[in-house]
Amino acid sequence: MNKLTFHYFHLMPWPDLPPDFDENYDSAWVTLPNSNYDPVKGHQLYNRYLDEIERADKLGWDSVIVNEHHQNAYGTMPSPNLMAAALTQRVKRAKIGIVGNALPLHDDPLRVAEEIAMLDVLSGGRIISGFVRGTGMEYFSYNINPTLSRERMNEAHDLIIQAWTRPGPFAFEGEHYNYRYVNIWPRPIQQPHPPIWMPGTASLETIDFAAKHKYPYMTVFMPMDQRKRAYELYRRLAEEKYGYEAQPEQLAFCVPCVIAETDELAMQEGEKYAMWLFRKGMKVRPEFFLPPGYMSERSIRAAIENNASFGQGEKSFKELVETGVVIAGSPDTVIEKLSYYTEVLHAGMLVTGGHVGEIPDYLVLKSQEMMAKEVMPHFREKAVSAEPKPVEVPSSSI
Amino acid sequence: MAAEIAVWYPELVSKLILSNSAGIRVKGSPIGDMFAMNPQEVLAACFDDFTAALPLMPAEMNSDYLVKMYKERTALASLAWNPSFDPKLARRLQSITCPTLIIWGENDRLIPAIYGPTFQSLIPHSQLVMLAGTGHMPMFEKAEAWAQPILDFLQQEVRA
Repeated sequence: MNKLTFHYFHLMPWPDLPPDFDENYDSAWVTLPNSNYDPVKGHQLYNRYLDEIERADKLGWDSVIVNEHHQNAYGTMPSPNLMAAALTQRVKRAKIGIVGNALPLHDDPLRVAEEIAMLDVLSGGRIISGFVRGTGMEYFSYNINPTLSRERMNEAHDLIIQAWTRPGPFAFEGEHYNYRYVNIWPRPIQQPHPPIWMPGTASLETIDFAAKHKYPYMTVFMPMDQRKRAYELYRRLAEEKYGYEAQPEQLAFCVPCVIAETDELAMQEGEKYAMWLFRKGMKVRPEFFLPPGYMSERSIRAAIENNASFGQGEKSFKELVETGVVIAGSPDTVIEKLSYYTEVLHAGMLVTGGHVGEIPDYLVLKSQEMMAKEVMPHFREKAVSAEPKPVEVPSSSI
Repeated sequence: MAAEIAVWYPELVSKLILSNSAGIRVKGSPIGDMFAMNPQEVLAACFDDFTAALPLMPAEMNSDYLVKMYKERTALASLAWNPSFDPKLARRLQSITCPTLIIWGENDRLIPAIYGPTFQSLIPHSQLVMLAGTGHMPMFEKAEAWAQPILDFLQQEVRA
């Protein structure tokens, strides 16, 4: 079995922020005026991103991944299912992940069940369906009560799983969602349903939920010590509370990887381009990041005591690399750092890629090719040798 | 909250005082988004005179205090995230029969001054006092100017 699977994750960011963004704007989310978005340039950018994702498929990534964010420059995919639909026509081999749909933001989660089922049928059963709560910011953008986030998440999840797996029609009677007739057409190809992933940043409850359902848990943009704590908790809950041993395919890590010919060059390129993500794309008013009731009391206490924020504060690129938020280096260095995940943490899914900031496309291509040709083979199962072996035949029988 | 109680349990309320209170909506004059404000912005929305806010300041800004604030905001959000008013309250206010005093700091930047006269127009026979030079928290900023009309109002005899 492969020690590590590779998943090409794209945010489809809007890199073109105003020149005085650092001084005069306190957030790339919720309130950044949408006059900063140029739809004509957006057309070019979407197609450039789709080309990039198509290359990842051709280069051997196991899946390509899109996600949902609203009213911001960090990721311009308010409807990730639309992007996944476009990808079914371009990506012919890899799986297509939507990691994920932000369930509590939607008053009609049956629509998510239907769209994922459509995509699964359209793609021939290649869909990975991530479920997320959405960031705190999105509760402002969609005016959804954050105190109901967890309840809506759990109930929407149950509804969608039932819609995919129970023969319809049946009635769903919930606190937030009620349907007299649940009977989705089409149904998904994958049985019992498309794989579900759960990304998380800080909430302990999400780790518990994922461990309970044996869903892969994906740590997102966090320092290594925090990732370790998250995996340890997942593993412990799996073993002690739910009675099974967590497998490497249940532990995913979303880490920006900057790869170049040498460590030094990787540090330079990362400094120049990847910092956009942390300094600009993730610049958020703290009040938007942690709306009231979005977190339980124990999670908010942990978040306050760890000084949690959406970005990584004022950390330099070097500090981001040293703390394990980002991986940067030559192919050998990247292999070494990824080996720590596979050998020490027993985490088996790398989620990384794609374009951030103002990086030119030829550098994106270079990094895609280096990952595919120099890093991936190291973690792939060695093909069984097909060379002919000599057969001993007694001479006497000739 | 007091207006809701007066509407639903009129027998419990002999006199009603509303001071810079939430509950209704005046289209075009939204209530400030307190959930999006940082502590300095909340102060700026509520007070003209920051020194008047000193009694509300914590002795120490530790994680216990921050968790407590988060829980208080959570309680408020569960009531008033969306909608930030009770859509049916404006209509129900007409059923209030007890004497009502509405008192408002003119410079309220959280619940704008227009909410004062709007409450008055919705509650039969209510009186309105607008206080100059103060905002959302006149009870801290202009304690005497705020207390005097309330004392007068409470001392008035209720006509049978």
